[in-house]
Amino acid sequence: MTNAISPLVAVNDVSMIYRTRAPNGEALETVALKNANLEINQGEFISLIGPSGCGKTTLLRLLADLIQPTSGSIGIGGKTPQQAREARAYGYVFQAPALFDWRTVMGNVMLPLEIMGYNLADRKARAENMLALVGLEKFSKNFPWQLSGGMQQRVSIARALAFEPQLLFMDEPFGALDEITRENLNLELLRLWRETGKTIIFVTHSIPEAVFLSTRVVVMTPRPGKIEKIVNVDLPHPRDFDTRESPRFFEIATEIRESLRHGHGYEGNE
Amino acid sequence: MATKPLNVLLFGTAGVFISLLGMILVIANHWNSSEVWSGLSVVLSCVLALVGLLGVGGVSSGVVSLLVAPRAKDKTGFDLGLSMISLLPAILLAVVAVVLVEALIHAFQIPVAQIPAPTAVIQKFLESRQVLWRDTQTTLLEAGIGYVIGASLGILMAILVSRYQFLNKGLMPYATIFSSIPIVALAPVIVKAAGLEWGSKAAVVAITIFFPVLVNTARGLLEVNPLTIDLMRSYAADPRRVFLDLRIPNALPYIFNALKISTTLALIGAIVAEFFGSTGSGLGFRILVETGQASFDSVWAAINIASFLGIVFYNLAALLERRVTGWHVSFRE
Repeated sequence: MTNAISPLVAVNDVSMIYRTRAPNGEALETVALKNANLEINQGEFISLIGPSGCGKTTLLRLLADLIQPTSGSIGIGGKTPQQAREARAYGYVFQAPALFDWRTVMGNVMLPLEIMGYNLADRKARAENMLALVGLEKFSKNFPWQLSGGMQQRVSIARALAFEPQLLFMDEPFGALDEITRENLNLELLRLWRETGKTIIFVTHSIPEAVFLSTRVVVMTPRPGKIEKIVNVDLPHPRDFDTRESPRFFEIATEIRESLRHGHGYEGNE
Repeated sequence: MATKPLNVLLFGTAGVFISLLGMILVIANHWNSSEVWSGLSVVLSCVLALVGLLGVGGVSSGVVSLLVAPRAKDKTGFDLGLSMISLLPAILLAVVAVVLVEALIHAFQIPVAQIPAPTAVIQKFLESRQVLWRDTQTTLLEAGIGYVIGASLGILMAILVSRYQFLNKGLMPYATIFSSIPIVALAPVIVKAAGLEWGSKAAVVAITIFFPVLVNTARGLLEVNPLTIDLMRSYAADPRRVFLDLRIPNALPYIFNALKISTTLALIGAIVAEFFGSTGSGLGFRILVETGQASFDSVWAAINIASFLGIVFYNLAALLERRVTGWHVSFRE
C-alpha cells in the first residue's frame, strides 16, 4: 500500500491489566496486554494472531473503545478511540453474528443506519447494496435463524459495512465456521477489501487464514499478552485458492508458526 | 411414536368392547334398583370406565393416524380439515367421558347434592343464565382491570429496575421472593381492608400478578447478550436507542411468558377474593353461595364458566404473543 505520512492507527506503549479477586480474597492482576506498539496505515489488512490469552481481542477492543487501557495511548486517524467511536469511524464484526432475532436480515443491516439517523430511502438503498456485496440480497426478508451460521456472519459483515466506515475491526468472525465456508468467506472478504479500499484489522488464530488475508501479520504471545513479531506478507494480489499452495505462502506460514512457538518457549518457566 | 397405528386400533377396539359389555351389565343391574351404592360395582364400573376411555382414545387415534398420516406427509400449509381430524380423538374422548359420567350417575342414583349429572348442569346453566352472565361480568371486570393494572405496574417497575442499579440491588431480591409465595393468601386481608366492591378483588388480582410480571420483565430487560451491548456501543447509540432497539425487544418473550401465567393467576385471584366478600355477584361468590345450599348443579355451571374464561383469557394472551414475538425461538418450525 502507499506510504501514508501519518499512520491511521497508532498504538503507543499500551498495557491492559485486569484486576480481579481470587476466591480466597487475594488480589489478582492479569496482564492482558503489555507495552504494545503498533502502527497501521490506511488501506492495510492487518491480522492479529496468537493463542488464547495473548491479548489480541483485548487489543481490538481497546482500539474500538469498548475498554480503556491501563496505560499508554491510542490514536485513530488523529483522534482518541472514544472520539473515533463517537464519530462512528469504524465497524466491528464480533466472534458471533450478534444479530437481532426480532429483525429481518434487512432490518439488521439497517440498524446502524437507523441509529445514525439516515433517512428511510437511504437506509434501504445502502442495506440493499451491502447485502448484494455479501451475496445475500435474496434473503433480505428472512429472519436470522432461517440462515446458516456462515450466512449470519455475512449479514453481520454487511451490517458493519452499512454506514461505510473506513476502518473495520473483525474479531475471529469466521472462528465458528467449517473450513470450507471459512475459505469461501476469506475469498469474499479479500474481494470486498480490494473493492472498498478499507483498512481491516482482523483477529484470528488460524495461521493460513492470517497469511492468506493480510498485508501484515501481528504475531502475539500470551502470559503476558504482547506483540512478538510483525510479519510482512508480500504475496501478490489478487489472491485466490492457488495462493494457498504457493511456496512463499508456506514460507510465511512457517515464519509465523516459529515465532508463535518461540513466544511459547518460556511459558513453562513461569 | 414407535407403536403401529394398527396395533393401537386393535387394542383400543378390544378395550372399548370389554368395557361396553361390562358397563351394560353393571348399569343394567343397577338401573332403577333401590340399592344406591354397592362398593364392588362402583369399583368395577370405574375400572371399566377407565378401560373404555383408554379404548376410545386408542381407536380414535389409531383411525386418525391411519387416515391422516398418509395425507399429512405431502401437505405443507395449514389444512383445516386435517387439523379437525387430528382433534377428533380428544373430542371423542370428552364426549364419551361425559356420557359415561351421566350414565353412571343415573345408574347409581347419585343425588344432585353430591354430584350433579352433566345434563343437570347444562339445564341449570340454561335456567339461570342471566344470573350467571352477571356473575361472569363481575368476575371479568375484577380480573380484567386487576390484570391490566398489575401488568402495567409490573412492566413499569421493571423498566425502572433496569434503569437504576440501586432498585435492582435493593428491590429485586424481595420481588423474587414475593413472586414465588402465594400472595392470594392475602385476599381476605385485602378484601377486608378495601371493601366489598369489585375494586378490592381487582386489587388482589393486581398484587398477585405484579410480582411475576416484574421479575420476568426485569430479567428480559437485563439479560441481554453482552455482544449486542458492545455492538450498540460501537455505534455510539444513546441509552434511549439501546433501550428501545435492544432491551425492550429482548424482553418481549419474557413479558409474554409472564402475561400468560398471569391470565390464570388473575382468575384464581378474582374468584378466591370473592369468597371473602362481594356485593352479591361474581363466579366465586356464586360457587360459595350455591355450595352452601348444596345446589351443585349451579356450582358446576359456575366452575365451567370459570374454566372457559381461563382458556379464552390464556389463549388471547398466547395469540398476542404469537403476533408480536413470532420471531422467537418457541415459534420456529
